[in-house]
Amino acid sequence: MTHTKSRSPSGRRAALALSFGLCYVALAGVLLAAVFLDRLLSRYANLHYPSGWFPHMSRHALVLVLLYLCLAVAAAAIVCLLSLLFHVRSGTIFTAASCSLVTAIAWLVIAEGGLFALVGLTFPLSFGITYVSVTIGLCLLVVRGILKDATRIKEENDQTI
Amino acid sequence: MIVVNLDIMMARRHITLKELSERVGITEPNLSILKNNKAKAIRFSTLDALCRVLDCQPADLIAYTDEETDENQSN
Repeated sequence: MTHTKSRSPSGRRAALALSFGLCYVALAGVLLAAVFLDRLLSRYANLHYPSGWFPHMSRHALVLVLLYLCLAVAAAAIVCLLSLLFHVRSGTIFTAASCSLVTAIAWLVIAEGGLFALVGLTFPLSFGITYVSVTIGLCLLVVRGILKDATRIKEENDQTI
Repeated sequence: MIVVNLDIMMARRHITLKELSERVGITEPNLSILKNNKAKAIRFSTLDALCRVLDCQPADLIAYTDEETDENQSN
């Protein structure tokens, strides 16, 4: 006979609270980065020369635009993650909406990896972030498939009288 | 297509949905899902309880209809 250990209600609440807290901290970090990005980039990287692709634009401006795009995509992914956590808190996990949110997060994370690949042409260490982002995105796509199956099974079970 | 004739049996036995749900031990919303042919499956235990309360056979409650034949006859 197999026994599955279910988490206690207080443990579940603590885990959810921690997840919410980390999401809000991440969102605050993204907003702070958006405010100080220009200053940080000027301070730690001298990129005031014409970029190869757009001669009328400095490399600094190009990298800044890419990094702001990265921040926007990251903010969108964190907002989707927060929506997913609200679903988890309300107990409506196995729904089409949750599947859509996981899909959205997966593709946003992969897009983030793509954007960091472009930043990597100036800062090669960004390719590391690209690799991690694409890997996480692919894992989330697999999770999406599993969640879709689980939703179908739950729906069938709910409609079994 | 499988059709559930629960409403017909309920009318024959003069029993309301509320009374049936209390006697069978299934909630009214779930019985309503069954009555309106929205259920995907039915447990044997549920079928057993319904047959016992309504004093009927499973064939009185569930029937098979050929959708294509029904459509052709209606046209």
